[in-house]
Amino acid sequence: MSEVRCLNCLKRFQVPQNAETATCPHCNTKFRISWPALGQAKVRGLA
Amino acid sequence: MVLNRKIAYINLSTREVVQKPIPREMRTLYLGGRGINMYLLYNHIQPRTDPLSPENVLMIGTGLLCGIPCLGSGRCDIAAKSPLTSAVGDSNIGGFFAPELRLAGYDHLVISGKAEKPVYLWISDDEITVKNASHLWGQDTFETQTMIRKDHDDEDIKSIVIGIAGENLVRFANVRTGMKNSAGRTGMGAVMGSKNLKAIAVRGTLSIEYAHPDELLDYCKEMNDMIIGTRWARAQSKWGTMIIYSNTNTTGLIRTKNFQLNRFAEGEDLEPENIDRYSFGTSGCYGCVVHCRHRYTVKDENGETIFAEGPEYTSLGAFGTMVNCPKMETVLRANHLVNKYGIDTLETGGLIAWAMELYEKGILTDEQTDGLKLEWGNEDVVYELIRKMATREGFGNVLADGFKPAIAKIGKGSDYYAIQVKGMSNLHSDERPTPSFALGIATSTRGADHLRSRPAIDLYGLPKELLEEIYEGPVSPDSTSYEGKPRMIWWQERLYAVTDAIGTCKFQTVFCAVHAPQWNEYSKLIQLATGMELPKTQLMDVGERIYTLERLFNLREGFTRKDDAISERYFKEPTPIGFPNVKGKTIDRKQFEKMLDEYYTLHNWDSNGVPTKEALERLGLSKEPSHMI
Repeated sequence: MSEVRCLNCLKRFQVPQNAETATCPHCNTKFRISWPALGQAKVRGLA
Repeated sequence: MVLNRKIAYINLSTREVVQKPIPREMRTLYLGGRGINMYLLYNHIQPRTDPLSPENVLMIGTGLLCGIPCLGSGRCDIAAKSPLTSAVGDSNIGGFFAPELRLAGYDHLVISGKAEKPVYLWISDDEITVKNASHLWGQDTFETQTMIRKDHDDEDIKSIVIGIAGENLVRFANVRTGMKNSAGRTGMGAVMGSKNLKAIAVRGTLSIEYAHPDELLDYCKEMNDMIIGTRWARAQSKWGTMIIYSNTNTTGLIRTKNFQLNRFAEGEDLEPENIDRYSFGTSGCYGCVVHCRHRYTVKDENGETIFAEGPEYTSLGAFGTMVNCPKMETVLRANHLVNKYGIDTLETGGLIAWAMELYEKGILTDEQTDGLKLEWGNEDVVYELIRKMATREGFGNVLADGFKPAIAKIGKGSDYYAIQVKGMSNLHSDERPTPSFALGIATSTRGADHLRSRPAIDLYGLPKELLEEIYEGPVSPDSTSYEGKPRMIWWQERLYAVTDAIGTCKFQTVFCAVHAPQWNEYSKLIQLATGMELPKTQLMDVGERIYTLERLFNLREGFTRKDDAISERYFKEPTPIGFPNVKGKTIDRKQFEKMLDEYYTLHNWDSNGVPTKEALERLGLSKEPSHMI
């Protein structure tokens, strides 16, 4: 798992390793995810 | 010892070269780089000097810590009175030129006058000569560097050069080194061009001695570990500064179609991950472990394969979102073009986007634009306008002098659509939802500028306690709030001034990364490298001194509080889209003025933004200009 910050509500949430999308559990915004480094997720954009 | 580097005064009119030591007092007060340059700027340039006249003085300054193996320490500051704004002109350039200049024995060059014919300076281990550059004049920035190396049969020569934009006195022409490093802003390339100075080439083989070399080496390793340990740096090392796009475009903080939108819905191809289609690796500047520069190939508009480096986040905006061009390929081609011609990517994109909006609104006609259809998303128009600006051809000549003269020529209310401060274009960031960013660009001493004070960490929603610890006072964790934001700007201004004075990279301090080297780390590096003891409070005073001197320069040139302003559009047009905390935002005028008042108070300036007598005395500036060097 890796942690990202939701760009909508700014709360952090966990993303499963290698996931291509993830939904913020706090505000339900869905993001596309990319992986700049091993174990480090990054929000790519809105899904 | 690193403090034994010299300052050289070069008069291009007479070809006289005078070398002097740099007084230790100068180092204590201003460090080096931008710090000493700003002192020289204030002391050597007479008020109301025409920036393109021989009386303007060009300053080249390496950072105090130039050459240490960490934090991208090879940065150099280039300063003069700006031909674009008539305010402080300075720009920072990375790459490898500055360490080479230091190895040749110099930390600062002060260049005055004008050569009769094109020349370049050749600097080689304590010797400076003025050489004929007639064979270089007309060459692009890549070819110029190659030809200089061939002339001297030495592949290790480093040069800073201008392209044809600088030769044509385009007021936002830049100074370049390597494949993509640029002193981009404020038109320093035009100042070089006005002096018939095509390049400064250097080869140095002297040694640099440090006060405590073993401890310095160990501490540099710690600094490199510290920066690469941040999430920001790890992401930046993969995709460069383009990674900022993911945040700003998703949120709604990116100007699109000049100022009409704040998110580029069609901009999926501009996402940084798409550079992987073109990139074959990354490289970095001197002393950098991040390596944020992509090396890429792309076919140009004629189908020829070009090899280039970049692009920065700035170019994603300039040739992507701002002009409504959705393809990464367009950005890559345009990025190469501006580097080749030697023209500021940000200013170029800002002017093209403005022109496109004027065309859309019917303020510009086909007759005025040489028949070019300045339609949103037309990449061919983007390439053609870059070329026309660099060569001052047709409509390009209208834009080549920057916003203020172009507004005067076009008229018809065109000023309303220009996103600029003090005559310089803003980054493609949309500051309407972020009051701290708005205050920063308004008060920047060199015009609309995101690198003078941007507190990027304001966007992270950090805990209030952490922000209070960093900024040494209460700051709201809400990026849309006005509370405490002047304090953020004041703190960052001083930090960035010192970062530019020591010659390290802003991306490796508290800019986009929170837990990055800053005051205490800088203090220790300075002590280990030079033996100078400059604790945090004293370093903060150095930052304050540099910034206040810049303020004095601008006041002397006639700038006032009314110039610490942002475009009317920030106050009148709400952001149309974006996340809930971003959509529907304008800057509140009353709150903006209140922030400005608070900002002036923090600096100990009066309500007009004039440094008080007390502030000047405390900083030792009451007798300026003092002509110490």
